[in-house]
Amino acid sequence: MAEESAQSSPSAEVDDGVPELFQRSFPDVTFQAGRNAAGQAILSVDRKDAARVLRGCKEDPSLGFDYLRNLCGVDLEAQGIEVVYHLLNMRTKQNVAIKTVAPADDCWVEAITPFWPGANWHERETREMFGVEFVGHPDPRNLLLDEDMTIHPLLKAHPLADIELFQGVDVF
Amino acid sequence: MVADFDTIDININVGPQHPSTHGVFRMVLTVDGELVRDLDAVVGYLHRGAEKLLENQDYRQGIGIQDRTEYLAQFPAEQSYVMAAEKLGGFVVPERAEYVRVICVELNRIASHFMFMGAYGTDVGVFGTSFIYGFRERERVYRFFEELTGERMMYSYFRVGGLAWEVMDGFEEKARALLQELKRGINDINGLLTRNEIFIARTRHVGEISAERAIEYGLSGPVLRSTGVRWDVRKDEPYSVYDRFDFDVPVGEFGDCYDRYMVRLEEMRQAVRIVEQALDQMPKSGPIMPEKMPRMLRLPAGEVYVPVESARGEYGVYLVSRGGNHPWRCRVKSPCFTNLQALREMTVGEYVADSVVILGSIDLVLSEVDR
Amino acid sequence: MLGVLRSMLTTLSTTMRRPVTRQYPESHRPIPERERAFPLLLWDHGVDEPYCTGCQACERACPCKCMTVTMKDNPRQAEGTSKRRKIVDTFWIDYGRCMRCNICVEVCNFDAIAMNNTWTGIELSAYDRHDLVMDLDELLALSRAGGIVPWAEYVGEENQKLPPRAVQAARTLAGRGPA
Repeated sequence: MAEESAQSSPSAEVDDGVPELFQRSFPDVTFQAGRNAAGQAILSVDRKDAARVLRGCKEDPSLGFDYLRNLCGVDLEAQGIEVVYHLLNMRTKQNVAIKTVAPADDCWVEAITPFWPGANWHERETREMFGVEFVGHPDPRNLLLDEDMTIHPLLKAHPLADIELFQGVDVF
Repeated sequence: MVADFDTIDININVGPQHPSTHGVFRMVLTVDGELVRDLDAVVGYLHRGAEKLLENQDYRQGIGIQDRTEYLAQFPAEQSYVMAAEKLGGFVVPERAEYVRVICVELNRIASHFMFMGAYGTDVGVFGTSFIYGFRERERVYRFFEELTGERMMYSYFRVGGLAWEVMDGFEEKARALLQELKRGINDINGLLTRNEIFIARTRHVGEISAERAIEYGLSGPVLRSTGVRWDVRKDEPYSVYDRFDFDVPVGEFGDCYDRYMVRLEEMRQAVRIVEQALDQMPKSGPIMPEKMPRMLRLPAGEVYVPVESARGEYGVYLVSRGGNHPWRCRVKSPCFTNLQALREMTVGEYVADSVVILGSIDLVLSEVDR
Repeated sequence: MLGVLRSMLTTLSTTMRRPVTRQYPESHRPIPERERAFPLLLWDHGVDEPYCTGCQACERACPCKCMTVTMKDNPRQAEGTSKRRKIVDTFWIDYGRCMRCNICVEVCNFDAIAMNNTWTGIELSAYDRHDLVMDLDELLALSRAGGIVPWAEYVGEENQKLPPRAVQAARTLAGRGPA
């Protein structure tokens, strides 16, 4: 299907030097590098290093990734919840996605809201939808859901309920 | 003598049902007299679980949900979703389809800004005149899209790979006639509001935010450009055929409400320029879908984040696929959600009457805040 | 002061223009051919039965799960008056749930379902939400009365040989015919 109508796969040829840049700035952190379908770098870090790396992205002038585009969670089922941060460097126009995994039995990551105000509502929403606790968040209330909501809806463990069908049923 | 009085700050609930909050949005203002000391924005009244629904729908059914996530500028939302699926699948959109997509998106941007002008005038106090002007022009755009797709608002016209069906006869003539009428509408709004001293007094130096804070909050769209940061996804990370057009990106100076209004007014004029160029450059005939598109789309495993310049800012779709015909995770990053975080900083220190003006200047669409 | 005067000049100039208001219930504006209101079923006047065979392709494709379809063996096929082996038995569409996305028309293999492009598809108010659930007779009513023309008749013999995507577009849009 994709082979007949596709052009060359984009992710193989792009090399923007972003993983090397990060490795130089944080020599003691292990990064696992990858590329997404648009050719942008994906760097996976351990959760104990995540907040430090993000702080460096924002404040270190040699990195300069100070624009947070997106912060969300992805349910990886057995492995836990993956928290993804999409960052942009407006001067060099480079993009990077930083990922960290919170294991299912001990589900927390460090919040970046204390030094990055733009992450506030994103972290609140990810917490209520997936159950990841953001340690250090100043205001961890529910954002979109009711206060008395007991489950975390976007987890795959809670499948979508069936619709009540009225067709053909005498409801009077 | 004033120091002998014990004063407390009172909480005013600008509740979910309110004509000025542009939807079901609630803010709790803590005021000292008329001065706003604190603001707590409560959202979630329009939450419908769109991201969960998108995980259970295939790549054609999900387009209808994207329409309803951003109900005033639907085509950019559809475009970012289908572009994400196209990047994952490696599909190449034919050129004619790209041009029609750009024309649809830019006309939708003009219509959305007319809605903003209308509602903003109402917030500021014009109360009805600007609203009717805005909607008179929006009706013309609705009629055009009704002839093209059959629906006035929720189009479901883009498909992964191109468009759903061919454009109607007389597409180019009707689009050009529409542009002439829209230019007259833009001049009407301009004449009504731009030099009006009352309007300037209500919006100049109200709700200012600096460029550094704007970048820290992750603002995008006209709100970011009003602070002086020249960032437009169409120019700086060009997608589709935007690199073939010659258009300017308007930028403000102070980051206040008047600058946001002027940025949007100028954006409407630039959008008219883009549509004219697109109509000139568009191939007169050609396919609108690639050859051999499968009936049931199955994308390979992968992930991508595709940002698009919507009328309100950067609308992004983060699509994670694990094979199959449903996404594994489809995150919709909406510009109003991120822009609303800065509302507190913009409003604290202003008066209660200004809080409505500042809220209006963000151009709120609750369905994308809550999804 | 000058700015306020300029605004007033703008409002004055609009009073000189022709009003855009239409007195709605008395006068209806003409709606375009591609109008996409709610779905309905088509009647095969040649054989005097619905085109629909109850295959449930539209029911599976619907994003809102607004349809319920069942099929039965066609008694006319045993008699020899029809080529359809199966025919639709019951068909409900919940108009309150339908989002008019057109996907049911695109997946139908028998050209049996179409989007209503007349004013009857738009003027659909009811006092109770459950009255918006349409059953088979209500869905076939307009086509049986001749108000909607099936695609094949509308485009004529020669245009049925178009390439597949053009056929689908024509079927989706132009196949409903005038009211």
